[in-house]
Amino acid sequence: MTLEALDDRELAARADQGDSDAFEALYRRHRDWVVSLAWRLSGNRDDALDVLQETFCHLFQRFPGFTLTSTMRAYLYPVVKHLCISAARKRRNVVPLNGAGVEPVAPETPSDWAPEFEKRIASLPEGHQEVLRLRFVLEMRLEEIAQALDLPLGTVKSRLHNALKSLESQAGEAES
Amino acid sequence: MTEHPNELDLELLRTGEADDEVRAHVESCASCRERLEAARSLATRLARPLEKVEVPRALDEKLAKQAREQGAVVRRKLHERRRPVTLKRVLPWAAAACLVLGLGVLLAVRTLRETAGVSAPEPVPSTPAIVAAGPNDVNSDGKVDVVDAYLVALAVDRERTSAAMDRNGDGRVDHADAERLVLAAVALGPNEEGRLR
Repeated sequence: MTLEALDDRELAARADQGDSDAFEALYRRHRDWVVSLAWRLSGNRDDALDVLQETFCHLFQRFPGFTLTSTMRAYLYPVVKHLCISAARKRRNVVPLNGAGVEPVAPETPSDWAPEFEKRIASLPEGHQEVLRLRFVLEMRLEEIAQALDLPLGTVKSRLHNALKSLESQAGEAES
Repeated sequence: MTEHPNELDLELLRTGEADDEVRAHVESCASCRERLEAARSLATRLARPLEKVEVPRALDEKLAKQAREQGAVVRRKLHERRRPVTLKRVLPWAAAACLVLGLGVLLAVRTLRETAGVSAPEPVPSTPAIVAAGPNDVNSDGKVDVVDAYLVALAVDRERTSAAMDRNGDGRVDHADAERLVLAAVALGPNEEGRLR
């Protein structure tokens, strides 16, 4: 059986025994998703590449002794998110040498949403927005979202339900 | 299911996560089929998928190499964990623990005596554990104890032995010599044996 046929849990279990091919397969399988997510969250390509390196460094240091209980993406999402926040903080503290005293320009973070939905979603609580992002941008299942956000499944269901209801009612108001 | 499914049920049905009851209802209900189509349309229009970001080739190769090397790191860590506990590994730690314990007891006894106003008794002569200086007294402190054994064990580990450390006379200096010193340090002499009887 080739490594491509194995799911993340099986790959992680092999990596936990020191299988170099499994480590490389994990990296190649999730590389594009991690760097794209980091770019979306940070809005900065250099930061995204740094976060890519740090994310896999963080993951690999957990071996041996690492057991994947959900999907790898659910495990990696909070890691990428926190590293992006940390990178943004570092960037804010950097003052360019040729512009002492000048505020560094904040990178323009790409939006998760189509323009017609941006305002409607911005009016939702941050927790609801994040559940929508994980569901519709990252296409995660409910259990994955619960794991990624470290929330009870019931809370995720409730937030998704309320967010969808709110979007639907706003759409109804816009039509009428 | 007699009631119409809510927004969450329809969203779960869209991704195949809904239960059979919801599926059966929607299949038999025209208005819910319309709502499901609306949910599918919303999901399609709602979000911008992640953009593909190219990882520079040099960085990609470096990270793939690091990933492969991690396999060797894990194998080494696992090997370390599975190594059997040998006397060679344990002896220096055991000697160090004995030393610390001995010093602790000594300190406690002295403190208690000072508190009680009792002066220390005269040392008992010719105690084997405190035998007069001789070839076993590696650190030349006038007594043979676990410190001497520890020093021999340490010298063996660091490969800094001397011929004088060959305490069992087998022509080489190894942990057997350290063990012999441990036995010499804890052996009872004639006075102690008499007192124990």
